[in-house]
Amino acid sequence: MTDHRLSAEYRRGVDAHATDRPVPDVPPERLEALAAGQLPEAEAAELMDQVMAHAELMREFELLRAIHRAGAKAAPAARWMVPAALAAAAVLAVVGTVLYRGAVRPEGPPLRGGAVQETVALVSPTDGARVPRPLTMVWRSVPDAARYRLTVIDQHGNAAFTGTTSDTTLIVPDSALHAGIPYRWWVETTVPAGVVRAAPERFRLTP
Amino acid sequence: MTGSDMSRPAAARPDQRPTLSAALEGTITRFRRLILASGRRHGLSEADVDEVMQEVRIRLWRNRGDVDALAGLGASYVHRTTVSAAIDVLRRRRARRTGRDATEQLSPGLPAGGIDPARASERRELSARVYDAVGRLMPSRRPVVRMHLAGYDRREIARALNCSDGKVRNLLSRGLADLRRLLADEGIGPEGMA
Repeated sequence: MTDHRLSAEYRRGVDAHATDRPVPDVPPERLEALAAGQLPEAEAAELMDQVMAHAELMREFELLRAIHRAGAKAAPAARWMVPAALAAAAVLAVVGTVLYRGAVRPEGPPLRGGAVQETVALVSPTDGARVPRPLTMVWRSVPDAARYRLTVIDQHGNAAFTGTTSDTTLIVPDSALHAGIPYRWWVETTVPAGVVRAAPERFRLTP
Repeated sequence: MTGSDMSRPAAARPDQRPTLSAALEGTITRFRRLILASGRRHGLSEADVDEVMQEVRIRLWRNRGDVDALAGLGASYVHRTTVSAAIDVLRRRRARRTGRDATEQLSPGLPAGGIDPARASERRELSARVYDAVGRLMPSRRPVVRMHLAGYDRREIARALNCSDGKVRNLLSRGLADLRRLLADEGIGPEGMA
């Protein structure tokens, strides 16, 4: 039987089972991690086995996968701007530290309309980006924050790098991270209202 | 329409309709096109995407004070908002589905009309046996074969399973050979059932 015929029969089988078998309870967040390619290989294989056997899970997976693919495709449009922004942030940071010693701090555009900032806005690397060395992490300043703590973890959840700074940019030493490994990073800070933390974002270093 | 639907900004009169900045709206429209282009080959439903993007617009509108400030982040910001919106859409849909399933269980299934019953039965049996045979493959080969039969190419499989293209090629080739052998043992050859 040809691949094409096998495929057609298999899909018909999946559709037929949609009516007589309950859909496994896979949390949407886990499905999203699978669609983003964030799960370790063994875990991804086990979950994918379930997903590709149920029509409804396949449909949900495809929606999330397409969103992530769109995110990856949309990123290159802005990629040329990222180095420019990084360079500008780095220059500002160096100039600010050396010449004005705490008087100048690079900041993003202010939040309008008296909005309450509930998180730290990460600027670069953007989520899912593949970035070259030297790795410069950039985020937006948070009002009333004195110091920021940056954390980078690897795919197993182990801390690969942590650092604190009063600035909104931090250069990660080349030896701290390895190319090709999926990392997640976030920044947190303490303000009078409590701890403010960014949602983790993913990146990889290019060789 | 549910109570929460009625509170959506989209239900407002035209002269009160919320608007996002043109740049942000352009980013959303472009992002929607990219999603559809990525999922078209795999039968992604345009209605699903539109439901998610509508949720994205609502979220951005509700947070428009922040959005105006963060519009410079563009696609990355819209991407993260879309992922979060999609998860919520799926969660709501599952809740609706649970209620519907309970109702449907009360109604007996009706036979399909307009198809030769013998032929339809044979087709159903063949597809059921292919589906069952896939389920009997070695666990390491099964997800790769399932993805392949569902229409994903090797690169897409490797990306989703976090493994190399070479490994996918190997597992797929062995998995498909196993599948054909299992089907042959049941009398299912190149032409279908004997």
